[in-house]
Amino acid sequence: MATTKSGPHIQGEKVFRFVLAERIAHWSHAISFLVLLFTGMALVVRGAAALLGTSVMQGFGLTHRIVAVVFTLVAVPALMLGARKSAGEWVRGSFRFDRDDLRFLAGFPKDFFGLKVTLPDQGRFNAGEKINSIFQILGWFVMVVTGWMLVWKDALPRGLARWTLATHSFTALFLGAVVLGHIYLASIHPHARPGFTGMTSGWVPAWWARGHYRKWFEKLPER
Amino acid sequence: MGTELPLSLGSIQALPLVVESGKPYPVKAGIFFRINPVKSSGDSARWIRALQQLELVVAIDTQMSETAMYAHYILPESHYLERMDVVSVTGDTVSVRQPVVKPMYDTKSGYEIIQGLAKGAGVGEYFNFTIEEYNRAQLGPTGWTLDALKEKGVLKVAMATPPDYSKVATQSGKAELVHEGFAKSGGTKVVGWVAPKTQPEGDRLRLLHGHQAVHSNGYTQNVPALYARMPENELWIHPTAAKARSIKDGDYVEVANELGKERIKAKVTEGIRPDCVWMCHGFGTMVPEQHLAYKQGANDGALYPILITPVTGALGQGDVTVTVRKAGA
Amino acid sequence: MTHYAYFIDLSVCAGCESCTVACQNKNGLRPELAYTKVHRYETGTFPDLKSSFVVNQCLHCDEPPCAEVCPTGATYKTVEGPVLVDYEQCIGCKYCIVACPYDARVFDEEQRTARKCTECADRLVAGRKPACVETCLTGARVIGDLDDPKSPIHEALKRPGTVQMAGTGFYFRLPEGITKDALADGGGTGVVRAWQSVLQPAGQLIMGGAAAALLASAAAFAVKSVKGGGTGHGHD
Repeated sequence: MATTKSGPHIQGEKVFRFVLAERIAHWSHAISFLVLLFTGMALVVRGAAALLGTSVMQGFGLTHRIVAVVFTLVAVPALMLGARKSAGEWVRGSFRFDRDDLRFLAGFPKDFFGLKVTLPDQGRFNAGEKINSIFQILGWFVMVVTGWMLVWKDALPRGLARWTLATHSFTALFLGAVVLGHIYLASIHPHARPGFTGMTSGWVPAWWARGHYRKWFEKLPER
Repeated sequence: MGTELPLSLGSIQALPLVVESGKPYPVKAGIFFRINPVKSSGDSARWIRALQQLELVVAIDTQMSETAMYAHYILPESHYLERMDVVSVTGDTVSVRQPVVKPMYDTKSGYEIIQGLAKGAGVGEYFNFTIEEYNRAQLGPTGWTLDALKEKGVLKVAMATPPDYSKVATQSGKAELVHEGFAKSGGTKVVGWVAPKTQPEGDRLRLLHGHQAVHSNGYTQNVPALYARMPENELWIHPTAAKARSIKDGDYVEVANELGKERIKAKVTEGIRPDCVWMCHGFGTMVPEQHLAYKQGANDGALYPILITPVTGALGQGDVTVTVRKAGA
Repeated sequence: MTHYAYFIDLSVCAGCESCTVACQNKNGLRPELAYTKVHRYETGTFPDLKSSFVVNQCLHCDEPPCAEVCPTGATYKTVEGPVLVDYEQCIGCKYCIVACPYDARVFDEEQRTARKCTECADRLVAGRKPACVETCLTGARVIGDLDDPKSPIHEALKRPGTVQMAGTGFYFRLPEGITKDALADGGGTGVVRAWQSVLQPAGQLIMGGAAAALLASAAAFAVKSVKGGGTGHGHD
């Protein structure tokens, strides 16, 4: 666990959860993803083209490619430069599930719909967040690779181009579903939304951090 | 071969032999009208040397050609869409080539050029008519008019003497495989096999050539629409011959013999004898002004010796072998 | 009702590519863009070789994959047969070019749209033949209205060795010794159809499902707070 002087720590009633580089990477990824999803969906939703007209659709296409550059080039360097150790732990940790994680996943649906359930202690990220992280990491990779291949789609062998289109299209919609869940949890769901400020100021309430990420909280230094 | 067949020396393919030897008499000038023997005859290098020996070379053509490059004077002819030519008759079909656009550049039709040269040579009185007048005079006795022909372009007509395909136009009325004329022309009275002078032995392959329907002979290679369809020719080579030379489909190869060396892309195909190679004629353009076609593909004409064949006096283009190896090997 | 069929007799095709050039001329295409292409097909080993010229072009499919993937509906199938492109609606995404099983569509960089053979629909309407049919030096190309009993297409389709390209109104007459292997197989549309009919709807369904789930969750919590139970789950 990253416990450098500038890393996560407890200060009175607050806990410092995310450093600046992590927040920059998050918002760059999030905003560019939403723009890409919105502009890309115009190609998929029947009737969108008729509503928007040819010029707007072409504008969406141009926007999509420009924002794709941001989506591709900002997050990873930001994490590497400003939060290398923390980001490394996040990636590795996202793919490791212990018994507590699995029990968390089993109980999560009840918690999601406000039904009573006791969830096991979690580390810095709960099992649900790990699942989201897996989708984001793999999804980013799939979208970036297929996306840039599609810029030259007519130069690819046809079979490959067709598979790439299908993959890019489906993965986008799947990630769209994931992001709906994520935004809901991050900003509306009463149990999760206290963590929102973690991504803006970097700080979250200590009581919330203790209750939701106990295994991580108990190892944090106090300042 | 050539001086043994004196009558053959009047044919275009023999001209370099005449220029070199001065036999049957010295030739000092040549007017090349709609013909490009440097590319399309045999032994391009020998042709160029022969042209350089002439005191006067005049070329009449619609584009700069390999032959025109060595002319002292080029008289540019109008494109076929810009000019009227003499009425043409083939069997029961009469047609006329007529202008559909005005000449784009400072060019004249072939007839106007001949007429101008005649005037300069002091025999203009024999060419004191227009091509229209000539064509009308030709058609006059037939009852068909030039105006009708100009409107339709092509007329199918009733022939005065319809052809009788039950008889061949020989003395006996049959195809003759035994004829005194063959013997007089350097062959034998009975048509017989004459072995070629060359054989594909060792690493040599016989060089064959022909045409493909996209281009016309050696003069359309620079037309943008046709260049896009076929920018260069390819050397058809059998897989066995290719493998023996480490040549893969699409590799550039050098085709060479004692007369020249050409660079061409290889097409490995089962559609050719293992001891032969084939290329389409008309490529390997040497004219820089032909911006598209310049140096694209290979010129087969550079590799044929000037071999005048018995009986017909034709150029023996098939009697030649070449070596083929990967370019840069 | 007009219902076009198009026939090409490959046994007399000379490979001159005049059709390609006439089409380019009629449609104002640069030499690099071609709606119809001819190539040489060979099969066998020397000396038992068979070869044929083969034409490849848009076959105006009955259910064109290009129209299915087009996000704007710019590409569409007409009742008479030709599959056309409305340039005003084309956004240049190139999905159609990828989807076409016959590689028959081109992208015009200057115009920034997809372009394709129109079967010279404008000339057909005026009672004329498409440029390629009119130009064909050997008379290999025939087009006709199947609903017109006097059309020469009926006789053409009866010539021995004629095969229909599945799912289209196109027919090729194969030379002796040449099989359908010489022709494009029109394959690879499985992925395209799956993408359009299965993956895209499934993706949208999943998104819809996610939206429904979070609405249900929000509703559940709203009900809870109205009932006065609080939204917390207890923290120590």
